[in-house]
Amino acid sequence: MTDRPKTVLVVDDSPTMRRMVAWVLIPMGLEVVEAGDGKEALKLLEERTFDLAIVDINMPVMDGIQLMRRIRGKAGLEDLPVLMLTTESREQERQLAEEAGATMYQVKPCLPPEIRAKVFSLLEAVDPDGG
Amino acid sequence: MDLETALKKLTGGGAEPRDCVVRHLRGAIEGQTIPALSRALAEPDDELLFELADLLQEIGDTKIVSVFLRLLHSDDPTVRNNARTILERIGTAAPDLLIALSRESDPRMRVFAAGILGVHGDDAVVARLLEMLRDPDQSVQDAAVVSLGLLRATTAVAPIAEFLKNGHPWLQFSSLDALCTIGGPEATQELLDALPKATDEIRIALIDALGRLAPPEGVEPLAGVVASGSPAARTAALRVLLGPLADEVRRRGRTESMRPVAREIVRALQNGRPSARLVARGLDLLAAIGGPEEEAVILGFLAAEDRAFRLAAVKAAGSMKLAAAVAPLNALLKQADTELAGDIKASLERIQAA
Repeated sequence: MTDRPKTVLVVDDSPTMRRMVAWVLIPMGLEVVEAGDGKEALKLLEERTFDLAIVDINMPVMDGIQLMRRIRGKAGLEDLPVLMLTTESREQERQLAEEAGATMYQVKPCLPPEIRAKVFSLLEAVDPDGG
Repeated sequence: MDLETALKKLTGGGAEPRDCVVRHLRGAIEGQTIPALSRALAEPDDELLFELADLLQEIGDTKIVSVFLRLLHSDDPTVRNNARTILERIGTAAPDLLIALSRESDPRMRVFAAGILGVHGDDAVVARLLEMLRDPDQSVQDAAVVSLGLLRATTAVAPIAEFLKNGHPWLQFSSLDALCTIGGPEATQELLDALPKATDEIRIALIDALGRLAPPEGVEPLAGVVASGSPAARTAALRVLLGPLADEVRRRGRTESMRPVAREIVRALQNGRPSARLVARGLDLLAAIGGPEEEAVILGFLAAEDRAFRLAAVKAAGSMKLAAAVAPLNALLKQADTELAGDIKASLERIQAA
């Protein structure tokens, strides 16, 4: 994809889910950093730069919607692409996520190529030259 | 004191707010309790959440569990997730209510139920989670697989392995991760059996899971991947063979089954600029399993610019008792610093003793 590996923050309270997303993304040449809840994710987002965040909705401590609102309220993170990856398939959660500022929404379980395609298009949209 | 005030004062300590919260929740006065709790749980206050969970865990009351089960249906994700957090702590007080939750018509509630059941499990819970593997909704199946893994339910190995063989790709991932968490000979065998037929992306995840288990019997199947897998699968398998399974590989020595591993190590070492860790581990294993073809690689690294690479080659030449290394080692000794000189002398002694 690029010379410099893009870094993706995967936020999910389930270590299994984080590993699964990592298994899908690492073969794309992406670097994956994991956070177990919204608070941990916010701390990481303050400490380093990410090219994309993949966020679950249902998490303890700080859920995905709260995290999304906090991300959009932070200077420098307004344009960070965020893919919500969740079991919540109802329209009202999709709308909540959109209102909170999520860039894309994907219901799981899904096929790995679906995640890859969305990740690819989000990264391309930010950096079409891949630099 | 009303419930809302008591909840606000709960983190401040003292018996009065605690007693008041308990009285309200036990009474579960519908008009007041649910809205007051919803408001409290909508505020992201960790301290209150943990204090409340501690208190309720102490009490362990079925009626209180049912109050929080109602909050799981909230439209506010913060409220339902905080209710879930509390239920993970207090759910054991009312296992029947959790089982009832797992039978609700809304698949979201069944997913929550599977997750909560996975935190506290007994035989009845495992039996229900096994039934949930046949749920019509894949997200519920997936949550049940994850929870059975967390409970290390050995009775679940065969049905989970079925998902690994024939399930939706997402469930194949969660199944292999659950089998890895369950561990033990049966689960390990299922992972090893799945290796040859898996798609490349599942195979790489399987290799990663086997790396966490590091089963001695995994060496030959992984060597098989090194011999005929895709470049990504070969790299993943080599990482496990050089890492958690290195001692097992070394134990195999210079056998035919280890030839592909030796060749792959050479390829990795000669591809671009290898890391010091790869060189150290790779040369160390080459010394144990490599043949005459690999001797040249070790000799080549004796002349490397990088000191760490030379050191790894010095040690490998010694443990391989490589006679052809005597001259380059002596040459190296003349210009080596004290520390490296010690390793060179040790290697020369091993070679000469042989």
